[in-house]
Amino acid sequence: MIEKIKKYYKTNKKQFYWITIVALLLLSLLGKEILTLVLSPGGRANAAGFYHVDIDDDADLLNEEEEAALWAQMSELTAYGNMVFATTYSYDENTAKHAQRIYKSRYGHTPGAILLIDAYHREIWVAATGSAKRMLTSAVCYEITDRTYPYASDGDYYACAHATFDRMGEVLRGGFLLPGLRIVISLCLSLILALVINLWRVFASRKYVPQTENLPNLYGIYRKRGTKKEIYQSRKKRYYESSDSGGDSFSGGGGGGGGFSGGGHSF
Amino acid sequence: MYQCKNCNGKLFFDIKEQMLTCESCGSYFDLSEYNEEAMTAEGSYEINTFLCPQCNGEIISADEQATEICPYCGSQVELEKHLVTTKKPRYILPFTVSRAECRKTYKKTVSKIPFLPKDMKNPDALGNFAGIYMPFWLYNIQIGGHIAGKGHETHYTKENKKEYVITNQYEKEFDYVGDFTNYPKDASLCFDDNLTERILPYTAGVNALEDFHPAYLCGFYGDLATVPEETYQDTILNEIVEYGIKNGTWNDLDRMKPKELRAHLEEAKQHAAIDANLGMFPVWFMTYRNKNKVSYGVANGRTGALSMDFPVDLKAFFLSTILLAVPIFLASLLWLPSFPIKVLNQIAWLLSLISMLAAGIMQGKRYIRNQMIRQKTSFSIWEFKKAHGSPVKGVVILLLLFFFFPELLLLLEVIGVLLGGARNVLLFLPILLLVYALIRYPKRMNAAVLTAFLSAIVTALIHRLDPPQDLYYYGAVLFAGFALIGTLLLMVRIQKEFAERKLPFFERGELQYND
Repeated sequence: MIEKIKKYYKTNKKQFYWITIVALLLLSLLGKEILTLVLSPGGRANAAGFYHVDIDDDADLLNEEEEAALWAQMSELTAYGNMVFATTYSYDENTAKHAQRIYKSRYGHTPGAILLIDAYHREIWVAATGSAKRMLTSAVCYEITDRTYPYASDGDYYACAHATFDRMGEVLRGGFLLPGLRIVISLCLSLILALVINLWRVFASRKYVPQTENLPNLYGIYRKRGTKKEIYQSRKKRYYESSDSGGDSFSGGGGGGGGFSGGGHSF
Repeated sequence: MYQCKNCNGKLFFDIKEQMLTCESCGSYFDLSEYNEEAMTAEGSYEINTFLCPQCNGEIISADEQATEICPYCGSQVELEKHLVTTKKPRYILPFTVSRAECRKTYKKTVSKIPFLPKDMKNPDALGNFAGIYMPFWLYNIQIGGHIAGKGHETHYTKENKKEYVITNQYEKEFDYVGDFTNYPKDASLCFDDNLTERILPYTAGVNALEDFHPAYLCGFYGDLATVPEETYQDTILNEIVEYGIKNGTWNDLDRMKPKELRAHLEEAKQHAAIDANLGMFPVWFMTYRNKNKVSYGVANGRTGALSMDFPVDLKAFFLSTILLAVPIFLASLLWLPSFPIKVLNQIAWLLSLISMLAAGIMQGKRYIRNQMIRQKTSFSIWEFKKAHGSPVKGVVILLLLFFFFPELLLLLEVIGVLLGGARNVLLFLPILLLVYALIRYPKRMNAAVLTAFLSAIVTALIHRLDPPQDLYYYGAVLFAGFALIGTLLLMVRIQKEFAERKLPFFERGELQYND
């Protein structure tokens, strides 16, 4: 095997380098995700009941029976982290940040997830932090809300919450959400990107620089003869050298994120 | 035709020694040792010509036998030998780059070209390089006149430790003359100007021109001058005028408008003196035949500069695309699913506009190329670019449009309101482009370009209507995706076409055979 690789390396040095670069690139991109999947196949479950359930229905979208049913459903997921359900009617600039703030104010960065129904912006948002974030990645959160927002659009907020926690549970237990249309679009876009890259390779390798415009220069030149010059106007002005004033320059960058994954959908 | 004086063996021109050498005994002879016995009359000479029965292409040679492969159409046929009397060239530039050096350059070049047909990378195909002397008209031009105009100059001076700036306005007049010698233009109908111009210039050429002697053709071929001398006169004068306008000679007359300068030089062009001599320039020529298509490669026999048609192997292209798409797809799973679908729709709108622009330009080039082939004129993409501008500009504009998307929307809203409160203002841009393209270039449209237009309209419409169900967004993005794939495939196909030529068929000239 090693001999084979050695032989391949000797005959296809360039290709070998490319394969190594692509493999390293993929590893750096996917490595973390692969490790996460391998190390935590079902999420890191703690002893049941260790984490908390919290329902904060500020916008009063659920009745008591619904809240009780949801409480029971959410309790089943406390093995994986704190489960928070919140609704709001108050204005906040950004639903995602609002959801993170609510969770942080209660549990900081201990593992868990939150579903916020923002009735002001008409948007639902799922965010996760800690070890739960490894399973409920932003992509997964988007996938979940993509499927459950229609319930909220119809005004059935309990169904929306129920479906959302149902799917969250599915993922936290190590399940897999069937790929939706986003995967088809990913596939389509990957093909487009690959085509663009290869097309660029075709064009870039087949272009040439035209010489025609410079050619006359090689075979002759324009010359001047018998120049006559007559100045008909002359102006003299005092010249002041402008002094440069130094300016301070600065650069700045934004701070890092708050350690949440999340995804949502308007309804 | 030329035989060894020692053993009657066949002679060939040795590039390294720049002498005739005998294939059998290895003796060397200077060309001057051979009288121009083939000369029949002032200004003409007798030589063997080999006619291809397949394409009517003709090559001349000082040898009695020719290659079994026609350099023009790549057919493996026995070429018909005839004796002709033809115009004697005034000059010749002997080969200085050998076939081996040419092969080396070729190998190096093709190793960098992706998706080339395997046969072209196969060293056996390199054996097809044939040394051919190509006829060129070498023009001598004199253009001149008297010009007067205004200008200004600025300089600085110091008086009593104080600095002053002095600006002079002046009138200046002078005679000017433009002298151009041995300005070359391809005199063969069989060679595509587009290919030959790419291996110019023969930089060392002007000073190294030798008087023509038919013995230089020993071991090589030559092509006949089939383009009349007058053909390029206008082109060459225009090129010299353009060069004149860009040239720094008139920098003193900075108050003169470019329009005035152009009018002046155009006037001078009418009185320019122009004449031409025939010269033979060395070219290594390669033909690659693939079924009923042919691709050419030419290398400058003095500088080694190589120019080739590089066909695209579609099988290799698609295989590589699919292999490349796999890691991209895996990587895209990390970030794409968390991309809001509305943003994807916006990107799809922009990509649709870019792709219809790029594919429209390519389709335009293809249309003009086909027109030129029909009219039997030479096709140069650069001429097309000169006339239509570079597509890069258009792409940059569209990218700017993307980054200023919100501002553009606002602008379109305003335009929409001004145009009578039309709501779907986003549709205006693609629709306006579509109408413009249909009116301006009706014959250059094709299905892929029109689908891209349509996808731009659909994505814009969805963006404007903002339906509550995502399905509409997904539908629009997927439609735009397929349209984009269609335009990209069209572009590959056109690029492939550009590097392939139909098998040539030349009309027989007025050349009379002596036999």
